[in-house]
Amino acid sequence: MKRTFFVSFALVCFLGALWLKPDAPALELSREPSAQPTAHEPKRAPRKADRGSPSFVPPADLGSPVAAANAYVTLHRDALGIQSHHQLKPEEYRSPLGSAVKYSVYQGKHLVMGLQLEIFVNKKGSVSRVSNGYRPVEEAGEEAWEAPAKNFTDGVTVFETESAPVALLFVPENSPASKAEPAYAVQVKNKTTQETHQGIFRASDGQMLALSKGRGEP
Amino acid sequence: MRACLPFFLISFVLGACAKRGCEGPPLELESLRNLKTQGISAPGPRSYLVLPNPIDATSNPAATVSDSKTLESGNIFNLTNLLVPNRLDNAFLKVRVRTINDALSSLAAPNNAGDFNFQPQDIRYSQTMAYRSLSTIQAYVEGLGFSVVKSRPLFVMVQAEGSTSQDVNAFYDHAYLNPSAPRTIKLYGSSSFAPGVDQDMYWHEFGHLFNESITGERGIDFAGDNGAIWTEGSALHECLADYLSESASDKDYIGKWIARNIGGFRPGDPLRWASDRNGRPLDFAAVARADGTGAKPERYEVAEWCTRVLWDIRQSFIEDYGSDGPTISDRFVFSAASLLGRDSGIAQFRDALLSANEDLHCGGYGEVINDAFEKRGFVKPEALAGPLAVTGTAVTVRVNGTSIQPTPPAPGVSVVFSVRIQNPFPSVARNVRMKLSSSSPLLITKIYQQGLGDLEAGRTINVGSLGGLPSTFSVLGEIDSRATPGSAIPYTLTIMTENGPDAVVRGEVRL
Repeated sequence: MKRTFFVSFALVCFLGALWLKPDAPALELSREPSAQPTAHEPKRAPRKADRGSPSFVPPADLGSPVAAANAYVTLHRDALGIQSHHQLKPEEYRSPLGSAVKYSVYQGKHLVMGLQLEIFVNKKGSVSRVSNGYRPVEEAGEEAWEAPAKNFTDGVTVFETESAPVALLFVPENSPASKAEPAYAVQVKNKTTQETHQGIFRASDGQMLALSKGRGEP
Repeated sequence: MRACLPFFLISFVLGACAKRGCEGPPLELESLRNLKTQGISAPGPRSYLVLPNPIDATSNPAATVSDSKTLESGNIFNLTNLLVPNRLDNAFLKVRVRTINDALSSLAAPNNAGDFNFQPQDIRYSQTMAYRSLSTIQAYVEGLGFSVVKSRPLFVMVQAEGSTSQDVNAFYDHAYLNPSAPRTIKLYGSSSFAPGVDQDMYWHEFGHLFNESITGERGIDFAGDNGAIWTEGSALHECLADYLSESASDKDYIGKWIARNIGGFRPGDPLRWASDRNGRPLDFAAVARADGTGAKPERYEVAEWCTRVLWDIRQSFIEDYGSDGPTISDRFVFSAASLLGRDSGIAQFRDALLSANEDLHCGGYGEVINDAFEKRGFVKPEALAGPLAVTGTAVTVRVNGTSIQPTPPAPGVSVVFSVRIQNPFPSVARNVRMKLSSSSPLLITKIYQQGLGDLEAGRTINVGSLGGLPSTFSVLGEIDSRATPGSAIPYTLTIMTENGPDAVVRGEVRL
């Protein structure tokens, strides 16, 4: 009888705790980095039953998400197929779900546009997913930019140049090319439409390889 | 009674543990709430601004920049983190009037007291509004736990070169293809209702930069960046930009001020509503089905539909978290958006919301999310029994501005496609898209993908032929100037739908 009473009472207490807790006022967090964060709580229970309490696993001590991603890339560089003439430069995109660390690919000082690698690091600091947009391409020689094109054109329009051309290597994403095309990125204006575009033009003859424009309202 | 105490404590601890992991990372809720309304709490030169714009500040649909009530409805705000106290620039944000290269002497400068106080009709007021609006919204999203990509500066032109008193517009350019180009926001218009005095405009345009930031610059509408007229990614871009502005300013609409410049809007009508009108949910089919004229689907109509879905979800967070609900909703919505990949669509966004819900809220809002989509007609359609019926041929043309003229195949000539797509099945074909690829480097794919909308059962859509959609709705390639006479350049047109297998048309252009 006594045992049943205690079990029942414990159950009531447990349910009571569940019932009362959501009514607690939202808590503000300390700005102190050393302070233990206290999560805010909803004012009533979540709409769906909790899926059990996640086990408490302390984050792996890998330092920053970029450090975790760098360690992964270093370890798997061969499996990812990264060639020796390419260098990777990381940039972190942080969100409450974790971080995406995106690597731009460089050959020396030149960006190789069209190749990239993205490593997702979750909230616990572990690599959770890899998106590999890298593929092997031949190394380009510096001589490719030595005789730059006189005009930048799409075959009909000769564009007016609005910025200094930036030398880079371009790998079209919808093409099977195994060669990175020496090219220039430049802001141009179509004199017929007066529209400004960002374009990629082949270094040797000024052939347009890609063109983009801004996002306009109606 | 003493015997109960351990049970009580154990039960309480167990109860607390059961919730762990269901509320997402901690947030500084009060400071985020204050940030949205009062701005960044830090010292800096003072400014007097009417937020978000004269109409909303006065609740007067006929308000103008010079009304006494407008002028009385302003407040003093600090301009924080300026690089130097006499210029509206910080390490990332650069405010200009007409162009990036504006003479610095022509830009807003403080008065003798060090304040940036200008009349709303003064262009220097717009510059001040731009700085305050953009620095505030940036601080807000960073406070939610997101990073904003700052690898290049953001230049804001508050009355960009080419502005007139007749036309208003706003552009955001992420300049994907030029690593040395800055990001730009350009507002056009010098009318009495100039967009430069409206916080909504800055928060919406910043939303585009924020979309690119949270999605790791994957290009959720890369096809649109490359010239596609319609894509679901373009609607998502606008939806998320609207939602950011609407939710952060706690209004279920956007653009009452800017709409004063546009025919068909009565004073006080907003550009778009995030909540349903007259209690009737906006139906997805009404905005997403291809009408065969090119008028539908249209990015802003689908975006408005999408914000109404998000507003429902936001409302459920308000029910659960009260005044902190909007902040927690914003974190949730943009966490979901951070999962989107290149050229995403509405279905991927719904799935991303469900996934973020598992991660941040232990699945607690799954029913709310599904209901918000389903009650507006976004349901999983029946699978099609096979690919759509497609015929297509390449047409070589010369494109000069908006003029497209047929021409024989030659190096430098463009390639568009005359395509007929029929849905022979008894259910709708969802999110029909046309994609161009080639196994030859001699075909440069410029507009590699176009969206065509949902294709109703039994319906046919024509692109690039008489009576159909013009060739501007086609994918577009260009024959490389290195191609030689006699070359045969293969192409592949893939017609995709979300509820059926791809249809593939292969052909070649022979020079």
